[in-house]
Amino acid sequence: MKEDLRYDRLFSKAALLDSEEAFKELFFEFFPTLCVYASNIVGDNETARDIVQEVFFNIWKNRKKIELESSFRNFIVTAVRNQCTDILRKRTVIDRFATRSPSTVETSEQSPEEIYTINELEQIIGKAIQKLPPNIREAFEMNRFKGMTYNEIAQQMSLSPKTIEAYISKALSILRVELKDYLPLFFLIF
Amino acid sequence: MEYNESSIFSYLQDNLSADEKRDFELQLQRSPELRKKFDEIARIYTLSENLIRQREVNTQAAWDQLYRRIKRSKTMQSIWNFTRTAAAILLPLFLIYQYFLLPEINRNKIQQTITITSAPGTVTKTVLPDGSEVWLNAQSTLTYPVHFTQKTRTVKLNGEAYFKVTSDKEHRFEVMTPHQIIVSAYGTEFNVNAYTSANRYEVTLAKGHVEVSSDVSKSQETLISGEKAIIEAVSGNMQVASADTYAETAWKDGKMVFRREKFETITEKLSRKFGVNIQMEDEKLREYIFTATFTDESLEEILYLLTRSTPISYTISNPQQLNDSTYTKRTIKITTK
Repeated sequence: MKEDLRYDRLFSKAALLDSEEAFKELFFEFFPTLCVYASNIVGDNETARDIVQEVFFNIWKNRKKIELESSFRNFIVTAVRNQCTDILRKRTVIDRFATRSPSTVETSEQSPEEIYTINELEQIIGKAIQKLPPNIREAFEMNRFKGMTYNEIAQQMSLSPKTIEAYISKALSILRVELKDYLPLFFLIF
Repeated sequence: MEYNESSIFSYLQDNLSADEKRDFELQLQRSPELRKKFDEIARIYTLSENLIRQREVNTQAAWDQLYRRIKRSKTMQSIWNFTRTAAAILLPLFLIYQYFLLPEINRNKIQQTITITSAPGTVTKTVLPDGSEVWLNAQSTLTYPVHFTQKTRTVKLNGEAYFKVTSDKEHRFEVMTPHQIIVSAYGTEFNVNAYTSANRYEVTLAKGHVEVSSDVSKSQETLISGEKAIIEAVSGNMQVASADTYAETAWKDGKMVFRREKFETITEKLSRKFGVNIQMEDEKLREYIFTATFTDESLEEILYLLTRSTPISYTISNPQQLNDSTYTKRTIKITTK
């Protein structure tokens, strides 16, 4: 499912052949996931967006000098994380002077390998959902991706709310199995 | 109450009532099985949540912004490269101009000089390119450049001149006289008496301080105001003595002030001022000492006054026409009575 080889090739193309096309492709693959990742660390979307854009800009600027040690994914996720840590550290300093209450800095413990690009995630989840029986899939997608409550779905599908609850339960049991490989890696903050 | 997957999912989506929620959280703490199930479903929730959030990101807008930035920095880069290349070419040219051509141009410039000479009996005043004022006594010559371009402001003097030097700490003012006597200062007033014919020169300081040095004797003296340096023309030996500044510099105001001066010195100054030859028949006369101040008296009046106080007489012979149609100076012969 992971496309590290493709990403590394795209990067070489961008770096060695100055291909803006390849760079754009990488940007479209990684920008969304890195924004979400950075946002989880710094806490707001605006800052996250700026950080990731800055990282991409610097990668383009220094593309000739960059040597990937493991993979492009690893490289860029690390770059974003470092940038986020910097921002947080600055904030902590400012906070300390402003309010004298040291805010704790918590960085996400996700490793770069757990950061899926938008297309990878679409495929992972899409493939798992394909395994669901049609009715159940419909109910689950309405609930998860359209944000509808069980009652709303029941009305739409002309079924009882109890049936919908059963559908969702069924869907989740199947998904637990289908997504087994990806689940333990996810980290949740509650 | 038994919690199945769908109610866990409802909890995660915050679709439970406050009571149900509280009850669920209580169960979650009590039942390890529920906890395990909850964790797995929570991960499905997070995974799909991640996708939903990624879908909301406006990647196209961000790319457009980034792309503009890349283009802009590329333009800046090419401007910078151009500037660097231009500098690489221009800098050596500039250095060549600054250190090879410019000194050459300046050397040529200094060769363009102005020479002024004061005729016998006149005092000429001139202003140098730097604004310094110079009074040039009779039968003196001053040479100076049209522009002061060198590190020092150098002028050449033969005769007597009074300098009022404009202050310029960066550029020394130097007066070169015959027999390699150099007077240097930054901004002062001083008198230099250096007639080639004389056997000793005098530098009298009116204000500030000057340095007097002789290349012949390799000696150097610094004068403070009210002092004068007396230099033997040939040997370059130097002596510092206190000076009567008024008497030494009175000439520039058209006066002749003598204070206990030898007759020899007086006749020398008279001959210069009036453009005449004065001959003394008796060697002893040279040693006579006079004190006198003349302002606008004529030569005849002065001579008359001298005969009144000393046992001398004089005769004036008129100019003679020479073979080449020029005339000799008037000659005055002084004899003892």
